[in-house]
Amino acid sequence: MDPALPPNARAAARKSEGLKTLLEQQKFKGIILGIRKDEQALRAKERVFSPRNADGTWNFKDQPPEFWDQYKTECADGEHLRIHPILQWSEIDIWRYTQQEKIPFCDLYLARDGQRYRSLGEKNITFPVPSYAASIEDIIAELEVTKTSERSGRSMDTETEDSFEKLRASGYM
Amino acid sequence: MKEQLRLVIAGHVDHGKSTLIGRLLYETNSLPQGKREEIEAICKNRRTDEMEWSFLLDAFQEERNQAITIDTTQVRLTTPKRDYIMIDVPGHKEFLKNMISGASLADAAILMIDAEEGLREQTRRHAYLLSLLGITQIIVVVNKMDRIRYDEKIFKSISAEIKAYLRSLQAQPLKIIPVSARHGEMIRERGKNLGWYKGKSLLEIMAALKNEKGAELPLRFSVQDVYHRDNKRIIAGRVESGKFEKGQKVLFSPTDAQAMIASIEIWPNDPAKIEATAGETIGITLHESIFVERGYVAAPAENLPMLSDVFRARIFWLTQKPLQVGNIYKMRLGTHETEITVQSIEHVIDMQDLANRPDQSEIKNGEVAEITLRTRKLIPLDSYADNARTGKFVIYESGNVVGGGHVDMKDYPDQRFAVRPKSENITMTHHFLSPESRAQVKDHRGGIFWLTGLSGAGKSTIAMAVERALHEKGYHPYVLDGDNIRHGLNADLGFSPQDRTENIRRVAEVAALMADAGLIVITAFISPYRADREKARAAAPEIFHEIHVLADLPTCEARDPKGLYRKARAGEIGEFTGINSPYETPISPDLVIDTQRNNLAFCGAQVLNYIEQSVTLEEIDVREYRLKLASV
Repeated sequence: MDPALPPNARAAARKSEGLKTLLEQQKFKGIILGIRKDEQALRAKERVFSPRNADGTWNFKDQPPEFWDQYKTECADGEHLRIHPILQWSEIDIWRYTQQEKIPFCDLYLARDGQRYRSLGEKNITFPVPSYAASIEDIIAELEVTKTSERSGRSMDTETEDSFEKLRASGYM
Repeated sequence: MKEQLRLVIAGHVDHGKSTLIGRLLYETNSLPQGKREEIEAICKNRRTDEMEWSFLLDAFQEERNQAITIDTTQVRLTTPKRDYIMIDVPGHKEFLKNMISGASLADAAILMIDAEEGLREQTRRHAYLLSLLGITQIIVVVNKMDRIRYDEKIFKSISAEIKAYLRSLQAQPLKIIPVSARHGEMIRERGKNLGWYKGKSLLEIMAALKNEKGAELPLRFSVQDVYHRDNKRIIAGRVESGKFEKGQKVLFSPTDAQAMIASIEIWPNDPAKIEATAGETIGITLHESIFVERGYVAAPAENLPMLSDVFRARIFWLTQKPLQVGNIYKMRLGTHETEITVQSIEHVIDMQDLANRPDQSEIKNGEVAEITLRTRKLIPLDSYADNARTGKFVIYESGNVVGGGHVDMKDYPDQRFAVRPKSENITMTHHFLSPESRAQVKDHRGGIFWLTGLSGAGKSTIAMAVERALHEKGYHPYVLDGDNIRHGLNADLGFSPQDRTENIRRVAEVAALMADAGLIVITAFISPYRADREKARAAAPEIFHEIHVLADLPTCEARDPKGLYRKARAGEIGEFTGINSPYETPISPDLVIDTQRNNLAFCGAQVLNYIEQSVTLEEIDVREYRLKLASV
């Protein structure tokens, strides 16, 4: 793990290590992830089909062109593709879809004692935000007017200016 | 659910794209809480006093350090009427593929021009690429009006220049608007300094943008896959354009199989779902059990895509390794995936002055060009001009996206309805005479010598000279000449791509009959399409010889024996081969006659010699023939 990472980002980077190990064991050619452009400025620069080197690193300076719903669907041996099917969705889209299709969800997203989690991550570096949204309808109503960002409770994002970029470049989801 | 519209902000480097987005976020109160403070803190850290709006979008360290946008990104702008996804794209030429990746998602565009600098290289390049990407709604924003003291004259001269440029792309700006993004003038509020401008503010103009889905176009349903589920055969795919309903008849390309839509399948199952429109990904079942697979396209019989194995394309190239004639790539058009060969590069287009540069041997990274592509099999195609949803394709090399482009089928025939016997009650009757016995009587074989080349290359002249020479030597030749045949047998045909194809089909059939009768048939037709010549060969493959009568366009135009080039250049003749209709050079002709370098006598002798070699009965043949006769 990169010792230059600030402490909270290091905690997050442990997830990347686990993912790397799994990729090595299973030799996956592609993994499907639920990241979205509206979550975070760096994720906004992602592609739907994003190739990764054997060690999981993201060469964000040289990303493949992607247009007209055609994607880079092949990659070399040892590489894998990160596939982001809901990249263009927004946070509120997720909740509306969850409601429409009656998809069960973790109740940490619902408010308790004036607080709820809008984004779930590692225990020690993820914090609840002030909210009274106690049902999925409340969540949607809250998101229609909110001015706080979804990941405001994820401390590793903004610990230092470049902490999230370092995390993602080295394979963080 | 609230409507959303994707809006790309394009333009030259430093003309204020990121500043405008920052200002729009601020004016619409769309910034997340704390975001402004976060950026302010970073700016303070970096010891810059002024608020750097671009940091909202330029999230990469390298982007911030160099103060440039490298990759595309997007932010959401909230207004009471609808949300805008603002797509920021890099203005630097090196990051063109990132610009394309971002802009291709947009429904509309804002083209930024710095009032102080006017139109620059990337202004034109971006405008050109926006039109290639099919973005027709373009708002031109002339920014930094404060820097030119809000001068109306300068604004008007920039307006005229960009209008003229867009007009030559068959595009026009929705509106041209003077703003100062930094001071927030004519964004939401009108400000005090632009009293002479009577138009609407930027946010008002944005509110009038349309969200087009392509439902008004003819139906195209591209097949993704076929599933078997609960004893049903479900054809899954996307409605690329138009709409259809349960009970409608559709025809699948490229097979021509017709079927009626029995049901529309969605999840969870909904029997009330009886129609589908552009943009929907759904399943259908059919009444008839016909073969369908990924890549097939369903369309109404009265408005079908064309079928062709050759097409013209306007492409943009996005990789270091140049595109060259003869190269083979993979192409994806909708769900259809096929191999393509570059047949020719017509010209590279200079995006600055829009000039066509012919005689280019390759297309380099970042260039736009017109090329001709060939596929192995017939594929369903729409011209981009007819259907912007289905008339575009992406080019791959070794699994990487390397380019994209538009299909242009103008002047190419639809090969769907290649003539087939109309009646099924046809039984071929066999002759008692064999080709050998006919040849024996004439003392030479029959054959077809198919001269192809541009008008003025010398086809008819050579054909007539060789016919006489053969006759004098005791052979039995006959020339089928283009203009002569069009006076009689083909008097009903014109010069449209379809008519050209039918013209050649009839000539090929007549030539095959005459050659079967034992004659030496020399044909003199431009026959510009490779597919048609291949079909002519198929009418009598054993005895067909393709002879390319070669002279380049300037030479033929200088000769102009019938005065046709002059008329074509004057616009009196449409669809003239070489001028405004394509000529497809033979790939491997049996003989090439260069009438540009050699005189008529030499060329005639070459053809005569070749024909004699091809039709002469060799001694061994005669002996075999006699043996055969003896054994009967």
